Amino acid sequence: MEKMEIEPRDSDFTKNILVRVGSEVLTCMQCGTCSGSCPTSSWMDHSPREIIRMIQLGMKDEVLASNTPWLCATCYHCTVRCPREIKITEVMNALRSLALSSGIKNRVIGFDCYFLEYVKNNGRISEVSLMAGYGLKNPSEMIKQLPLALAFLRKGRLPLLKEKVGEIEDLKNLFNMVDRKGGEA
Amino acid sequence: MRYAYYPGCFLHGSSLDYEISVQAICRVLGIELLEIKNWTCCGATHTATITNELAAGLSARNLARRDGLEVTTPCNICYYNLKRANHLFRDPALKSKVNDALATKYDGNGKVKHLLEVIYSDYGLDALKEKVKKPLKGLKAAAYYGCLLTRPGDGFDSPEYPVSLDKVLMAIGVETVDYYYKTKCCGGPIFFQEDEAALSLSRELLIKAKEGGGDCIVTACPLCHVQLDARQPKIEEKYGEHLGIPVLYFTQILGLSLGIPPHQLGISKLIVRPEKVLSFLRS
Repeated sequence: MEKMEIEPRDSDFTKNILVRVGSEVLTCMQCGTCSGSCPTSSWMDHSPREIIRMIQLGMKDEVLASNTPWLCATCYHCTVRCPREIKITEVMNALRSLALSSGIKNRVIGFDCYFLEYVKNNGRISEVSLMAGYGLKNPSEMIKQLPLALAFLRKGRLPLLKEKVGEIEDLKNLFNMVDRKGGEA
Repeated sequence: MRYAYYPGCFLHGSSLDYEISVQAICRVLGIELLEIKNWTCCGATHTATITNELAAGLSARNLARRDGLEVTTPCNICYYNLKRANHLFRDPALKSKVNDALATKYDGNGKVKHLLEVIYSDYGLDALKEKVKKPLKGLKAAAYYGCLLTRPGDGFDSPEYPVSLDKVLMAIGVETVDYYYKTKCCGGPIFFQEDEAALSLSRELLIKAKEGGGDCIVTACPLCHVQLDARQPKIEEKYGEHLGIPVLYFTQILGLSLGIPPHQLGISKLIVRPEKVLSFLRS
């Protein structure tokens, strides 16, 4: 029987992931332990197992279009159980980073960027201030959070004033000097 | 016993009841917590999208200010992020790049311990038993570890079958129940992306803990706590069922057993009424 050589469709994409997360990704034997352990796999369009295979095959567009990395709860069940010791959670992180640097825009990226910008400017999170700011541009999100916010308010668990944090100039340095946008490994 | 203390944003925000109970029990146990001066956010659940350098830097900035002490935090997510910085700092290029940006350089040697670990490993169960004034006899608790307390590993307890929280609870006279969901994800990190998933995961957990015989759930993470306690009414409403399971921070249960009055532990700030748990104080 002839041996079939399969060339990954986008080998740069595959290599990128391997460099970031390790070459163990190539040894995935598709056992499905990761998918079976994943708490959110039923909401994913491609299971973790499928994503690893798609990475091996260089299916960059399909992988970056999938909702899988965004539904990863970073619970690390997959990573702890993978018999090939593939760092699957880190694969998901790498895909998120790659999506960001590829210019992909979605709700999660939007909120992540907003959250981090808030940290850069204020040091710590004041929930009221964070959500008020986010809610101004995304009123429907604000409405979703309102019941919980009110429950906390009633229990005296929602500090209204922002805490002032000193010496945070190096935080700005950190954000500026370090490439935030995923980029190469 | 002295530690550099990293409370994290939640404990200074909507989980200030957790903070109240942390301070109360550490005072009684003689654990000195020195809050890291001008600490900043570790990035919480938003470190996945950014580069390793920035993720490490957010935590390294805080670890650099530990004044030579071991660092402790009561939040699973902060614990994970801080430990992850240590792991990432093993790369000299990353370490150098991050330190270039920081005002106080980080040597990469800060020891990071979850507060549960401090009590379990450093303070010790025997010493804890001596301080118990009200053994909460008859109370059955489902110890809930969550994900990042014991995973990805190299931690103080087993990623698959941890026992530390159970043993701490048993030391104060509480019976813990066995159930499958001790380390299953509560869904907290994805509530923004897919709220239905987050509610569904927490609901399963609440049901399994109840089925396992738990009168209450005990947790060691503010995000898990919000999912299980503050969002329990929403879960009940969405699925049309009554759950009514009190969810307490481990520091609150500990505090009760140490004889600290409930109002000094933030008990009145819980969303799901905890009367069921408090009734065991009288027994």
